[in-house]
Amino acid sequence: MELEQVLYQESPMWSALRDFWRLYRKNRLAVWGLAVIAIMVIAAIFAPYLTPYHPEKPDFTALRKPPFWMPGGSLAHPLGTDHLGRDMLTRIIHGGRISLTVGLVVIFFATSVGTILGLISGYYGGRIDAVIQRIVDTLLSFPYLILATALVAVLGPGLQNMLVALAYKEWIYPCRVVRSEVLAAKNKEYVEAAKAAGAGDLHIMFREILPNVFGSVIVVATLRVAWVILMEASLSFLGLGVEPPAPAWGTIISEGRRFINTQWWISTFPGIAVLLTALGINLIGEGLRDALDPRMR
Amino acid sequence: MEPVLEVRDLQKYFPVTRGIRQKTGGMLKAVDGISFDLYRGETLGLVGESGCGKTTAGRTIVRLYEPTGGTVRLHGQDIFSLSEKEMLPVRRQIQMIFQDPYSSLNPRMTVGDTITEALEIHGLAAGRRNERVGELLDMVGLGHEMAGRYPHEFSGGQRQRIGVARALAVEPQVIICDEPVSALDVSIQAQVINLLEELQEKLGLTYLFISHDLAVVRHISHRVAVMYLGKLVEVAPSDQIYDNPLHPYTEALMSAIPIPDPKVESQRQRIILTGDVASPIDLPPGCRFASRCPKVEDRCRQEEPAMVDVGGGHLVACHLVG
Repeated sequence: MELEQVLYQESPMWSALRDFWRLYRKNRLAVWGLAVIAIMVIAAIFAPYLTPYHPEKPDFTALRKPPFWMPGGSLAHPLGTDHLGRDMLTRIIHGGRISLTVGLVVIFFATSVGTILGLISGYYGGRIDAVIQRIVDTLLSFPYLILATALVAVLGPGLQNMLVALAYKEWIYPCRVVRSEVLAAKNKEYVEAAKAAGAGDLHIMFREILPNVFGSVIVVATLRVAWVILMEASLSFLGLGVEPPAPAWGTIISEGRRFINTQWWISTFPGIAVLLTALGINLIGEGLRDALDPRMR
Repeated sequence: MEPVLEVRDLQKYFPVTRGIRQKTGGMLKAVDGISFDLYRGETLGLVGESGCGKTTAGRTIVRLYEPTGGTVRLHGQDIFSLSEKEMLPVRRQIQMIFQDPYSSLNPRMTVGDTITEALEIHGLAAGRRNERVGELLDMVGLGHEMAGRYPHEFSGGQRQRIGVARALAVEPQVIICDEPVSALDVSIQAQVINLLEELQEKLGLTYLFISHDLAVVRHISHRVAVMYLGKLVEVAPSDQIYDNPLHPYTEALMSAIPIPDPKVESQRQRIILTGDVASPIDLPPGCRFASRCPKVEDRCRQEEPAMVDVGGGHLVACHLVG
């Protein structure tokens, strides 16, 4: 009895969060993923205070310096400098601001829109489902990069236009996944039980069905964050994203391409940053999916 | 005595659609005009083979499916003419227990949340919902401390008890039990059936008990209705229908009940039906059972028999009787 009282004194939100962490912690890799992403996010937020150099100003006294462990390298520029003498670590940290913003903004928008449209599409079916799904089919039939390229070419390069070019199509992935999951969930007897109890459509969609498709939504969202960051890098690489001298990861890789034979570090380090981000987010997604499923307890 | 629930000429047809243009290619007549009354405190068993429309009938009565025709009156009020909003008080009075205890509970909601949901929708027990959930769980023999658990932590029989608690939450008068024990082990079936009987006695509940298990139905039902291809063929008090079935289909059904005594069992005369079940999309004229009936006559293939009362509340729809 005493134990029960102690447990009940804790606010429900805290205990839910603590429960959640206890489950999440079980997946070691997910904790590593979270650590990597947390470091990146913190570094991105505090970038101007963390880096002693300016990310865009050239320094002609320190051109093409190698990383510190190589002959000629020094800890003043731990990851070396590029062809204009800019510190690589500084540029990668600042680049993280752009890449992570693009990834998160696009996915947040796409997941919200896609989930709601998927719910409507799967739950109501019929004509509204046919209309939404034909739009999805149409968008799906265009190659991602080519249409994004065309859009940026029309709208002009820049961060905002790139967000549009990536987001207009991104919502279809959560939409499809949610729709198919809703189709499976809506015929379950617990949905009928809610109907028999007098629950309305909104109640059934958001309280009965949505929690059951949430696992898949999170998996899709995290997989797609990684993908969007790669696309941002690709667009920037092609000169259609953030314009130089701004340090997006893709832009840096693109610039370093010319020097890949002699100064390999210019392209390699931002490439590793992309890889680590994508990997970290995927690991978090896997951990979330497991921790949010009551059957895994 | 006034019936609690009067079902008259209930029909539910499903359109059979084909191709991407969803052209209607006929109607599947799952329930094609059934009528019966439910009296307070009684259990009416609704039996029939798979696909005869018994589940559809149950779901149409609570308007989980929109009816094609007919009326259902609850205390004299026609519930098919009500809007979804006006249905809310009706839904409080008619509840349902589902067949599959594994899909009838939302895996993402705790047992407490599942039961609270119904209370919230109807604005019941405000301010003391946790106590009410505890009471309900105690009532079905689970214990109030189970409220914080998730469905996957329970066995099939326990889950079915949760389903019963959910149905009871809104204090209904009529409960439609849709094969409530057919997914359970035989030993567990008895426990759930006993629970249902206890609750009926304590709360004065009225059950429509849908099942294909004739032994279970005999045990729990006061009256039994036999359904064949969307129609009722025979309705009678439980003992009468088991001891003196009049319709050839009921006779065949009753002869299929195994007897738990090997000596008697080996002597049992079974009526084996031959022929195919008529298609519910393309029904032949005359009696629906004519294609399989061992006693079929010419008249059966032309005229559909009407339900007649042969006395003592024993109704049967067959040309050869009465």
